[in-house]
Formats: sequence, C-alpha cells, structure tokens
Amino acid sequence: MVKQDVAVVGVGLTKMGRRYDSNHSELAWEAIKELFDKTTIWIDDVDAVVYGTMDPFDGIASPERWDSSAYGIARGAGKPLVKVTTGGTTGMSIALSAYYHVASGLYDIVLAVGTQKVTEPVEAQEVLNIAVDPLFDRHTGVGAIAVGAIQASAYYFDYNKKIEEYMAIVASKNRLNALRNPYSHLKLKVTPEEALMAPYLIWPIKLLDSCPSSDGSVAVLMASDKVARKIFDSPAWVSAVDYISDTYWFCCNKGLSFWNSLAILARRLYRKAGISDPKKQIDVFELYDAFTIQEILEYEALGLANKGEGWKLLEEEATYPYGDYPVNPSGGVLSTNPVGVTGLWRFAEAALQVMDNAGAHQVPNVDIALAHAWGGALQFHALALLSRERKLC
Amino acid sequence: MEYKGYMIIPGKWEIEYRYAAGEYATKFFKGLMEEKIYGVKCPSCRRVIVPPRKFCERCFVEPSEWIEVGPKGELVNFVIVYRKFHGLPDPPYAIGLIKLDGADDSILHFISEVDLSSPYRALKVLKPGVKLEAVWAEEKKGMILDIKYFKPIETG
Amino acid sequence: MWDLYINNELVLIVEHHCAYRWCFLMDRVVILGGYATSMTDFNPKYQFYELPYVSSRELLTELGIDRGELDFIILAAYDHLDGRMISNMYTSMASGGYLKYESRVSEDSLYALAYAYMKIISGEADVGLVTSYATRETDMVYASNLVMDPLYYRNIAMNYLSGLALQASAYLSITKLQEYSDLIASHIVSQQRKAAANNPRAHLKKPLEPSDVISNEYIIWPLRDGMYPPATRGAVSIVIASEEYAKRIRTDPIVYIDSVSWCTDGYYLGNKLLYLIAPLMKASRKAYINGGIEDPMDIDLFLISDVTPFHYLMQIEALGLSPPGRGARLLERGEIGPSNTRLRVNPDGGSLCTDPYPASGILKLYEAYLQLTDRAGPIQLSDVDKVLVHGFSYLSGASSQSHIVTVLSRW
Repeated sequence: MVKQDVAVVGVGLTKMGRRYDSNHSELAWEAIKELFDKTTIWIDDVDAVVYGTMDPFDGIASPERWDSSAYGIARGAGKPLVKVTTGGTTGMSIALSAYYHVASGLYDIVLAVGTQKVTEPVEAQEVLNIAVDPLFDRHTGVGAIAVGAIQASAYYFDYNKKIEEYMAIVASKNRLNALRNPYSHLKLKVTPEEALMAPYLIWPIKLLDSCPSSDGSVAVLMASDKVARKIFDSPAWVSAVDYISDTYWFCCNKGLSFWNSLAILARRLYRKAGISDPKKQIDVFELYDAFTIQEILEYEALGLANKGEGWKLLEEEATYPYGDYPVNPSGGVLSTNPVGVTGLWRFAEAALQVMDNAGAHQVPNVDIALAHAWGGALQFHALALLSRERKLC
Repeated sequence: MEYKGYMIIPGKWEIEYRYAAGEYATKFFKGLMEEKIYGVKCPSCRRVIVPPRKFCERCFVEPSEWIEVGPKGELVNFVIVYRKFHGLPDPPYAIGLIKLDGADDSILHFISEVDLSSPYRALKVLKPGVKLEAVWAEEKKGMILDIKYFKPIETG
Repeated sequence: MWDLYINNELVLIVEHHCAYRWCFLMDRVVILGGYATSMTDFNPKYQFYELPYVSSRELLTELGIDRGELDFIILAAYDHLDGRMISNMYTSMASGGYLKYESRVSEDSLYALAYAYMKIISGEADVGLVTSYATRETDMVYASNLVMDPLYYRNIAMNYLSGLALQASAYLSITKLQEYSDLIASHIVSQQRKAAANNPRAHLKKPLEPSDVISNEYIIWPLRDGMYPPATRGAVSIVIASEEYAKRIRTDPIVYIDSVSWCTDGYYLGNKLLYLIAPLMKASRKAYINGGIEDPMDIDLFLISDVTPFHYLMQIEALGLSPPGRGARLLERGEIGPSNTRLRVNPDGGSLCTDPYPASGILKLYEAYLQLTDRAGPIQLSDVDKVLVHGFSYLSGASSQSHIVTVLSRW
C-alpha cells in the first residue's frame, strides 16, 4: 500500500524520427505543448518534474538543464527537478521516480519527461560502445546490436534453429502496427519474407530485426488520487511498478536464451499487483523490443509462453493487435527508438490504451496494460502495470 | 550542412580519461604480459571469476584466492559482425563469450582464424562448446588486447 | 526569515499549508549509518566500481545488515565523469544491487537520498542503500563544458568554474564588495582550511593563512587557486530505513530525516539574478515548513556546499540566516564560523577542503550523522540536535541551478 494512489492523467508525444528541424530544447517544448493543449491544467500547476535521458547520445552531458525552460522551470523561482538515467530503462526509470514522487505524498502533480536525439551522433553504435568496460570489453567494439545478436545466437543453439524466420514475423508485425501510429518513426510495409531477406548486421540480427535511431520527446503527467479525476475523468491508475538490476558480467547463468532477470521481476510484480494469470488478466503489452528476438524472449519471461516456445505465439498470431495477447500495437521499439525516452513512451502507450486514447491503434476493451523496458548489458528491467480500476484486488 | 532548410552544426565529444585499474585488474593485466590468465575464486559461492574483480556481486564478499585459468576454453556464445560501424573495427569479425578452462565466468573477446565470409560457413566451425585457445600478441602492452584473439583448436 | 519580492518576475511565495504537510512526519525515515572511504587525490588503487564496493561493503558490515535485506539501491553518478556510459551497470552490482530495485540520478548525491526517502515514505520499502563516489579519472572543467548546450554556451568555453565565478562577480558588484573581495574570500578559505586541519576525514588538511590565499594566482577572476573545491576521490554510502525497521535493530540515538526539499531554476544566464540563489531560497523555505522549523536560527549546525567563499555568503543569505547582501557582516562580527560561533557552519572544512563530487551531498550527510550521534571525533560540537545539510548539483547547468536541502534531527 502506498501513501497516495497514482494515476496517469495526460500524455504528450512528438512525432518521432529524424528531427533535424528542431534542437533539443525545442523538441522538449513540442511534447509539453501537446500535453498541455489537451489538459485542463497548466504548467504552473505542476509540483515537480522528473527528467531522464541517456546522455552521450545527445552530445550534451546534462541536457535537462537546457531543456528545463520548456518544463516551466524558469518561471518564478524554479521548481523541483531531478534527472535520472539508467541506460535503456531510463524512460521507465523516469516514470518510476515520478511515481514515487506522488506515491510518497510529497507531491500531487508530477511531470515525467524525457527528450532524446539519437540521430545526432554520427554513429550510435560507437556511442554505445562507450558503455562497455574500457579495460576488458570495449576493444571488441561491442554495442547494443551485438548484445541482441548474442541473445539470438543463444536461442538459435538452445531452442530453435529456425528462429530467424520467427524473428522476421515480429519484424513485419510491429512495422505494420506502426503504420497506424502517427507518432512512430519507421513507416514500413514489410512482409516476413522481406525481413528474412534483409542483409546481416551482426549474425543472426539482420537489418529489419533491429530498431532505428530516432529523435523524440515524451511527457507524461501523473497525479495523486486527490486530484487525478479532476484533471482527467478516466485516468490510468498505476497499479504496481518494479525494477531489477542483474549483473553486468556475462557469467554462465545470466541467461541469454531465457531472460532470467525479467522472469524474476515479472513474478515479483504480478505478486505485488495480485495478478495470478497474466495471460488472462493483462489485455495489452507494450514491450521493449529493440531487436526482434527480444520480443520472443519477453513472451517467455512474462509468462505468455513456455520456455523455448515463445515463437509459437507468432504462429498462432496471438500477439497481433487482434490476437489474445496484443504486443506492441503501437509499433514498438522496432519502429521507433529514441533510447532514453523509449521506456517512458512504452509507459505512455500503455496508459493511452487504458485511457481509451490510443487512436487508430487502440485495442478494444483494455482494462490492464503492462509496460516494460530493458537496459544495460541485458541486465536492467523495469515493469509497470496500468489499470482502469483504482484498486486491482 | 543543411537539412530541409535547417542548419546542422557539426560537433564532437572527446574526453580524455585515465582509467584506474585497481589491484585486481592490475594483477590480471600483469599476468597477460607473461602469457598467463588469472581469475579469482569467490570464497562463498566458489565461482572462479574471470576477468577478476574485487567482489562477487552475489555473495558481496571479496575473493582472495588467485587461480590460473585457460589459455584454452570453450565458446559459450558468439556473434559475427557484417556491417561497418563508424569508429569500430572493419567487418567481418566475430565476438564471443569464452569460458576459459577452470573458470565459471566468461570473458569477451574476438574469435579469429575462422572463415567468416558468411554465417553458414562460419557456423560449420563455430558453435557453443567449441574448444578455443588464446593467441597472444607479440608485443605486450598490459591490456586486454595482449590476447590478440581466440582461435578454434584443430582436432584430429 | 527573509523573503524577497523582486518586481513581478521573480517572487518567492512560501506555501503556508503546513497543517496538510505535517501529517507526513507521522512515519519517519531514519539514517541507520554511513561510511566514507578516505578522501584523497586521484590514485589508481581501485577501479572505478571498486570504490563504491568498498564503501557499501564496509557500511553493511559495520551495521550488521546482510545485502539480502536491502530493498533497493539508489546511486548518484555522471556518465561523463566515469567515462563509461550507463556507469551504473557496474556500480549497481558494486553497491549490492544484484537482483534488486536500483536507480540512479545524475545530480548531487543528496538527490539520490531524496529518491530513497520518497521510496520509504511511500510505504513500499523499509531499508535502502544510497551510494555515490568520485573517481577523478577525468578533468571536470572540460567535462562540465559538455554540459552546456552545443549552440550557445559551449563554444563560449562555459564550464562550472566560470559559472561559479560569474555568480561571485555578480554578487560582488551588487553588494559593492569588489575591493574587499580578496579580504573576505581569503578569510573564509583560511577559516575553512583551519577547520579541516582538525578533521581526520578531510582531503586538504594543510591549514592556510589568509595571506597565503591572497598570494595565489587568479584562476578565473574573482576566484583564485584555493577558492574552489579540490578534486577529491572517494566514495560514500548511507543506509536509510523506516523508523519501524530501525527500532528493530538499533537502540542508540536515532537520526531522523525531518524533510527533504529541492529546487531548480532556469538555464539561461541572462534570465536570472545571478547573485540570488533563488532555488535554494525556495527549497530551504519548503524544508523548514515540512520539517516544522519556524526560525532557521533554531538549527544547530549547517553543512553547506560552499563551493567558493562567495557561495558561502550567498548560500547563508539564501538560507535566510542573514539579510540579502549582508552575509559578510556576520563574518565581521564573528557570528559565523566552523565552531564557537552563534551560527555554526561546516566544522568539517566544507566543500572547499573535501569535495568528492557528486558524493559531496551524502558526505555532508554522513558528517551530520556523526555530529548527531556524537561520533565526529576531534570536530565534534556540543548540543547538536538539528542539522541542515545542503547539496548543490553544480556540475549540471550553466550557473547555480539545482539545490537540495535536508533537515536532520536527533530524538
């Protein structure tokens, strides 16, 4: 039981993609403007701001200070602001930190925001290479793609030699979903066959198995139970959040073909929220699928499929928007990846689905939605459960 | 540079660092200079950790027993890079996790002396469990690249 | 207390709904203990993530808490200072975070404490570890240039030192103290260095006379060498817990966190009054209200981030201890100093002598904890029941943007 219940009462998104038309703080402003254009309150009503980004991508070490003017920080004598950054999970870490700002009872209206420009570094993989240990690992040039490839290669050897075909189905499914989302970056009409024919980046990951580099900004307004319904009449309540941090080092049972840490976290979250059967109780999933293989691993870790059988859901089309467990109806990370804010976008999309506000990619009758992000060397996971009802159990 | 009428200002981020190696990595790198690979054994869970580190993250205690491992080992997993990324090595090259003989943890390194021109050809030789051995650089500098790469051991 | 009303643009309004906020004092958060490694110059004895391991391990051993009992870990670090992107990939393990809830702020470490505080009062967690460290593997002045926006300020070679110097110079000109700048600054530096000489935990322990400071070269006018924080390497860990948890394992004096409050102002330098630390004014007023403090003079000890001697004065004023612009008078009358004065500020020597940024905030918190539990050794003061700790994210932003205040008390 938290001190105050927390709800999402508004979402502001920018068009994601190659945004050379606006600089960092202008992009931040765009999301804020979109948020407050649709909301009954104004920036001065916000009690505190939580910001996040993954620094080196922007080439600015603390872009939140430059952006802060867009968040109403410069009005009056200032506002509480804190910057969180945890790699790929940064976006969800923003949401989690904002959640605790409200849940603690210290603040009633909190703005969770992030802005990231991944197209500004000339080579994103070179930037990601800075993440790995300079003494032991950096020489190999490992970046995010290699990390995804290692999972795919492990799955290939452990479970399914035909996994590339199923990865191609994920590539096609999420790209087609993105066609219905006006904010997403890639608008590709690809068939699984085309995805399978794409050139290899890093075996077994091919071009269409990988996410793009996008620019974008996301703003989410969170409020306490005292004020939430005054701002938005059917808010998305945050039922439970949790986070896990596995080891950086690739020791033998970290789990490459099965995501142990996510499985542990999911059980922890389900217990906290009183979810006994995620397949039945959760209506839509917004997962962090930077690479196609990860969506399959996430099915298994979240309990939608048995170990080594995640690909079967694709055969049954269960994770298509019209299936039993729609996954990434927004187009997911495969279509749009502004790294540091991607997690917040997953959170926002899950909230939009619950608020019945997702637009063309709205899944009918969503009561409970799950948002996920992973980060680091396959080691961090964050999960948030959003629901239409204030109390789940 | 311009894009649809908007200016693009070039920039660069170069920060110099002096990375401290500390006791454990120092001993490891000094070992590499003598063509020896060292790991440490966690006194609590008995895992042999390579590359060595000051603590076992699970037991949260300091390992103190040094153990020589390798230079042979087995491949745990690997990937093959086919795309040129700015600032990173020229493709194709393979990166693998190698569990050295006597170790419980894997180290990350290049795998070479394999035909990498296509995954199909490479997969004929490379698969988890394949035996590898370290190839040493001629000139040792006290860094991870003193092991030049790992290569498959010819069997029978 | 002093509140400022400056035309219509910048008005500080204190929120007076104390009654509503007071209810949160019901369930309180306790500092169980802290540990700081020795504070030194850069040295390669430890790899960067081994530093937080040392402080966390020592602290858990000292408290007799198993790693498994911790509910969460919160870190404070900057990637560009560590030279590793997502540096918490390593440090979260090193702080005992394996398979635990973990998060990281890129701010002064007191912000990490604030996160931990919120997590505990929300009722979801009982005990957590806050860790921060400084490795000094890179040059902070250049690294802070990269904080600036790439279009306007970065090419003007703006960095944290020039930001601090800009504020100092604005303060000197508004108070018409330019002529006395060296006199005042050298007095403060020397007073703090002498205090640090008694503190076994300080970094710069060599006492300085005011004349030594005045003879130093200018680095960025009006700052001379010695008038800005040293590059200190070290790590600090703190364990905080709910009162219920603390009472289960401890019987000795308990240190409570009465309130935490923080505030940030705008980025553009032309848009704010540099000589006024408005965010600190706002943050401290809120901390006083939430902590039930009617007059800040009631606080027994202040541990502030005196990053330059001029900030020492500006921050004393912003905390409401002196009328704006009159801070130097307190010095003249001998009413303010490290000990034996009416207002006791930084008996440990302060940021001018020890500054493992971004661990500075929780290092001060650790010093406050030691004072409140009578364990501060040679610098122990008498009658310390309430302490204010101030943290300053001076690396983020162009000039004095983010300040955080926490009030601690002994019951």
